[in-house]
Amino acid sequence: MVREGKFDCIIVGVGGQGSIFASGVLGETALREGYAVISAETHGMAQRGGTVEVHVRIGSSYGPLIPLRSADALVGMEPAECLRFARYLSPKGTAIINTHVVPATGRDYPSVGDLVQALEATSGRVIAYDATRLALEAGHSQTLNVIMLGTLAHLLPLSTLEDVIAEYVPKKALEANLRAFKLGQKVVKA
Amino acid sequence: MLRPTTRVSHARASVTLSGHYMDQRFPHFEKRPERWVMVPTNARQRHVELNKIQPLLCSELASLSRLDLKKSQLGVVTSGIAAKYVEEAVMKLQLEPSLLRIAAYPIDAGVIAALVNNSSQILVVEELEPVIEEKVKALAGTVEVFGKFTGHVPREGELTVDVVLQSLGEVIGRFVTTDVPAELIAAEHALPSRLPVLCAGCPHRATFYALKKVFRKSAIYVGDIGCYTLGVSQGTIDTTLCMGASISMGSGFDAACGGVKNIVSVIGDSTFVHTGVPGLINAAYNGAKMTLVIMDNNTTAMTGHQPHPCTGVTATGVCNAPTPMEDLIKAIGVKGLYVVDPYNLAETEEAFIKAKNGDGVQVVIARRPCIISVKKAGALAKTKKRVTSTCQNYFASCKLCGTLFCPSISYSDTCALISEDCVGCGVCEQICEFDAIKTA
Ligand code: SF4
Ligand code: SF4
Repeated sequence: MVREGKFDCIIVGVGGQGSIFASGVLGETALREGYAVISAETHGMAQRGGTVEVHVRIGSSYGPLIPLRSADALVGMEPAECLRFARYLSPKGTAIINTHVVPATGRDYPSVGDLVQALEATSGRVIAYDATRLALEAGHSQTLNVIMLGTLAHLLPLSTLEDVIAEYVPKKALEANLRAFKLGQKVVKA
Repeated sequence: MLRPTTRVSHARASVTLSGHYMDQRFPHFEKRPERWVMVPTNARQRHVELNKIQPLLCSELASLSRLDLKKSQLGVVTSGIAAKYVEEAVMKLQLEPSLLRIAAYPIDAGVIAALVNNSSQILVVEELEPVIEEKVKALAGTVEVFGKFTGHVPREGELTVDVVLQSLGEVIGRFVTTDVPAELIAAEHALPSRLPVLCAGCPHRATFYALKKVFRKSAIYVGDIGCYTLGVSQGTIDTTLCMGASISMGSGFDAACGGVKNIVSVIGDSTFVHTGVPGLINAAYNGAKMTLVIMDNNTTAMTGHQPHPCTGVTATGVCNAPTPMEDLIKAIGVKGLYVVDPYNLAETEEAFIKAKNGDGVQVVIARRPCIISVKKAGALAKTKKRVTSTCQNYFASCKLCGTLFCPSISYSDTCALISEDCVGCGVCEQICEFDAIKTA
């Protein structure tokens, strides 16, 4: 899966879903495991509600922005946001998409089935599931980002992601987050 | 000189600190008035000195620039983050141009001349205005220079690897194309947009609602920089420029069209203590007629909740007596000062009416902590509100609560819906004319 110790990943979502936290934990883990890491984030001005886009490049000596059609993985915490950045995913790459919708403004929200289909037609592999439901199962909707990291883990050249997550989440949310990581992992094991 | 482009400012990477930065420093200050006191006689002499050191500076900084000469007709001059895009693009194109990475300004002419002598074509790739390109053009002689002036590099927007691939392609006549499938582009274009909005339960939303009700559409709302800039969707932000401009521009608007228009300046608490105070002194002293709304959420919300002098926490996290905001404003000599809780719309509107009818500079402090701080402190009492269906029939056309732009309010065909993430601020309940929104 890994191109000579390199991994380019795009994490997207809606403000408040924890995309930036997820990218921070991912970057920190890679750094500790000896990789060069560079990342860049683009988000709106308020804390919540806008589109959030984070590029994370592991083992790259280039700039932080991933070129079009070349990311190894695209993690979408929200289906429409996932599709908004699908142009960065490599034709061989994997999309991990949360099918739970966060309503948006303007045009009508397309059917999630259509969004998943568009991804399937243009990428290597699509892992689509209701990660928000799993997060609630883990104990808190805020564990959504850790659920998605759990699913992403099997693609990564990293082994200590879970430990770094445990270190970074607030103490009182530790149990729920560890449950979330396991639930996210199980999505691909099952 | 560091050129802080978007991507330099919004990137993180692993950085190795050299021992140099960790040196113990011993502060000392040498008294040399001719060097540090810029009265005209000293300043004239300093100008001579400054010009004298330019060549020295150039040659010293030149050692920071990197020139890799290759057996190629093509030379590329770049700098900063753009250099990284160029490196990736030439790798993708399997191209080996001579590469000059400029690290600092002023740019040494010698290093550019060395590249010019080795190339017959030069492409300049830099973010922002074509500063390096101008310098290269001036020294290029008959060598062709491509870049922003020739349209090979876009003048606006951010550079990316794909943009640089296109620029290089146009110069060498060979392209590495990345086709984004048409179906993907079509699906992307059909997506609904997602603009940032104030958080559900953000106190600013309530303040803006009351403001609009009292001052109407016709007032000039002079804004500032913070989460409250998003008040533009509620029609209560007409300008945003730089920090503190709400008050200084507000008094300017009053000088230009006071008496014809109501002037309302809107600023946050942290911006107020940062750069609002001098503007307020000026407005009050020079007799402007305007209303200043300080949206006091006791933090610097937009940039990540940093403390400021009115919070009682210092920049290094130590507790200290807060700068007393009301005392400060009173001492400046404003004509009226009101402190309200924005969640109480009636109280807030009343203060705005008084301010509108009052003399000189009137200040309304709308005080309520940022909902994110409240959540972080674990202090959010979850009192959820539900829309009852008694007024179903009106809802389709009413949508009055929609003017709040609260992300927790949406509409079905027949009624307003309150979603999960509602924090129960109760503001929508207060504005519903049919008593259809109730605190459960
Ligand atoms: S972060 Fe605070 S100030 Fe900013 S929109 Fe949210 S509640 Fe309002
Ligand atoms: S009470 Fe109404 S205005 Fe306040 S957060 Fe809930 S839905 Fe939004």
